Amino acid sequence: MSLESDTKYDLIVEDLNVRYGKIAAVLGANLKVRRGSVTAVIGANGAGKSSTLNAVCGNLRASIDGRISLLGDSISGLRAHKIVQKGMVLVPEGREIVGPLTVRENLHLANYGGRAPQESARLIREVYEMFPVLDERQHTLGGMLSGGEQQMLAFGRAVVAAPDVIVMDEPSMGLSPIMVDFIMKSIRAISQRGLTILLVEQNANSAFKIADYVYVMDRGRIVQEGSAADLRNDPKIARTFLGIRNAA
Amino acid sequence: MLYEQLIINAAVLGAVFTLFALGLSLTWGALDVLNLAHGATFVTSAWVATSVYSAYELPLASAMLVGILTGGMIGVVADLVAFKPIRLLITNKRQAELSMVAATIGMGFVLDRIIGRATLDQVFSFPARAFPYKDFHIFGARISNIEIIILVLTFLCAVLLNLWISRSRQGMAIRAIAYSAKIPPLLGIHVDRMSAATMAIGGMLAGLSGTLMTVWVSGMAVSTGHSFLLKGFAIVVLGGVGSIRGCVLAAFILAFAETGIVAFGAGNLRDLAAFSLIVLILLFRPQGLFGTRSAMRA
Amino acid sequence: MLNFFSSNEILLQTIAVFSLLAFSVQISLRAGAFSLAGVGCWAIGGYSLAISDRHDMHPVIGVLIGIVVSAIISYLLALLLVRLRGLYLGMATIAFNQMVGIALIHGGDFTGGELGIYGIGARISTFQLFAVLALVSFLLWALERGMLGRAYNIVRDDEPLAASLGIDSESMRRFAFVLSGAVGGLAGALNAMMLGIVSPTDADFPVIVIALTMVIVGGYHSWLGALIGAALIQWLPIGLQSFGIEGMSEWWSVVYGLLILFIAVYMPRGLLGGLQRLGSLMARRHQDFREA
Repeated sequence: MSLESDTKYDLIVEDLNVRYGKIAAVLGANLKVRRGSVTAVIGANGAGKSSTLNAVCGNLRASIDGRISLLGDSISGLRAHKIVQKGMVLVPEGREIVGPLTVRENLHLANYGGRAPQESARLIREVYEMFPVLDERQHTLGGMLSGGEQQMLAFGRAVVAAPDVIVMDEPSMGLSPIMVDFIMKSIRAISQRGLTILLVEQNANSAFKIADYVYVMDRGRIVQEGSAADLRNDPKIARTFLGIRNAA
Repeated sequence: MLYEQLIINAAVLGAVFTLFALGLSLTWGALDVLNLAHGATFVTSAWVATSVYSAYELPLASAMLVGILTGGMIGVVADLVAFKPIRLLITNKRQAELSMVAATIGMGFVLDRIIGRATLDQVFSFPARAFPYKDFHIFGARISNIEIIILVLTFLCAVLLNLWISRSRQGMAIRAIAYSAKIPPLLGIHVDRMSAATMAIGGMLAGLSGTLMTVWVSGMAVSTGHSFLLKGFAIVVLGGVGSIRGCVLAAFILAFAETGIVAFGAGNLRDLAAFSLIVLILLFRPQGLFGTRSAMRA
Repeated sequence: MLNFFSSNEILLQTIAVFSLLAFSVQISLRAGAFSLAGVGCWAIGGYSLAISDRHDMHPVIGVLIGIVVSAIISYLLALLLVRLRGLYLGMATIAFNQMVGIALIHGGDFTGGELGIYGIGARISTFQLFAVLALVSFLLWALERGMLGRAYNIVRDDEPLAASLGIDSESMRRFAFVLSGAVGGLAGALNAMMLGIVSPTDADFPVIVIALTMVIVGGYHSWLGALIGAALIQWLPIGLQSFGIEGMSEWWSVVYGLLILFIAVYMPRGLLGGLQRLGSLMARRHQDFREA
């Protein structure tokens, strides 16, 4: 692996193994997330996608092996809050909004823990521009928001932390089809601000709509990878994940 | 005329209770910790203040400051030695809760014995000349300068704490931690650091309460710490865990109830007030006056 | 051997009685109920025996009265405190204990007021004490086995799961409460016979702390843990003294405090848990274990 090719990738994961006790959830996973891209990991339930994501972001209590590097720096073994400081933020499954805090407070809090706490005003304003609904409901308690609004807030939180990479765990989970559409468009918009995105999705259709590069996981291993365009036309993928019977 | 005096006494007692209970409520609300060493921290801070005053002939305020900082230090040490490793090692929430309580019991034992030995289990205080007591007469009642100081300091602390928790970024971080220990790291918040800071503040409040109490009643002992601990819990439960407003209100309610009971005859039923309060509140309104089921509010 | 027994008889008797007190706490902790009401029942049991002794009743009757009264009061308490969980339940039971103490102080001639009751005539032999201990240990052992034992584990660890399996957590917890009180009352009654006196401080904070810490040090997951904790705690002051270090017995509570601290942080399953882990680590060296 030459140094030159490395600078094209924000996040490089090599030989990741995740074990919960005797159970291996991820086996020898290798991932490269290109700068500025939207990279998706798809696969069936239990394939190990979430474990991979959480392990990479330091948010997992399990036995973790392998080399993870972010922007050229090794982050293997670092805990979640340190990784945020290094420029990678996780939007966890289920949003995990701080219920008793208002929308505004949630954003300020995320900015405080992020890399640019002195630019809170600008960053928060940008989030309100991206998601006007949040601006309207600035003083609403996080726990009172709808699922879609919470997802938007979760994205907003990630943005105000001024990261280079945002990792998303099942962003479409539990949302109505219209919301899913909107969320996917939002992810595209965030990507267009220059951020690199790695996301995990069970809803392969949605993932393919916005991803540049796709990894396919099955039973803990990465079994296939390629550009979204290529994989979309792969008959096996089409059948297994996209529900397309006769892919020509 | 007697009533005014009682009210003043009750109010000052309430103020001292408030400072003590605020520290307890803060750590319980934010860190899910029943700090059974809070009473020992209270006494130890007072003892350090009196010792330092006598040994180094410092001005009283400086000695008290040393006492307060000692309280803060005890809190930080407790966090480093017990709570941080428990957070790291014990994943089961109920187990962690029990372990943290047990750890504070252990620390309380150690502090109690050390101070008990140092004071030979006697009452200790600042020497009489240490503080220039001066009485004022207001509305026919007598109030001393120390009592005024206590009331003012308590008011300031409560207001500042409230502002800090509700407006500052650290306050938001603490409220987030009180809600869930999993989310803050994802936001880049250093939970260990915030936990140590919270314990430090709680400890300092205990120290402030202890040193002021020692000056006010000219006497403090290891047993006072036990008594305060039990009352502190009654207050936190009554006020609602994590609610500053509730804590203050509850502290004064207890102080007035106790003063009233002692004044109107049944002196040895005084402690009954605290326990009955705990049981009644827990039965009918476990969240207390202002508490919510989950997180910390200002 | 006989020498050992006779010279340490008091220690052994104390261990037996405090083991029963530890059992009472362990029973409820095991069911996931943080109840320390067993200490209040310890006082109630002791006083029941003292008062019945004063009326010249046979000690066995006195003990039985202690057990029954404790059980009834525990039952009522369980009904009252049904909605409380965790630390809140713990505090309510501590408050209950304190109120028992206050009630005893104000019981007038019936309870002997602040001084308590002296000169209890009933006596119990070391052998009888250990027989009772063995009996109760067996009872607890039986409750920890099989389906019932597993059911209690589920009630403790995962209530929704218990509900979905058709396990009535509420009545199981109530039962644990009552049993905890009954054993506490038994312990208190036996203690009264051993010491010959009862006093209102029997339900005080220091006793509560000793009861709780015995169980935590030994390990609250099993009756054996409670037993180990009780034995260690009662032996500690004497043991330290025998090490001959100057004034060690004065500092035994510091040693105790540090011990509790260490175990709470690094051995949450207590000494028993630590021994078990050591045993299984030695037996099976090459496998990973899931954290329980």
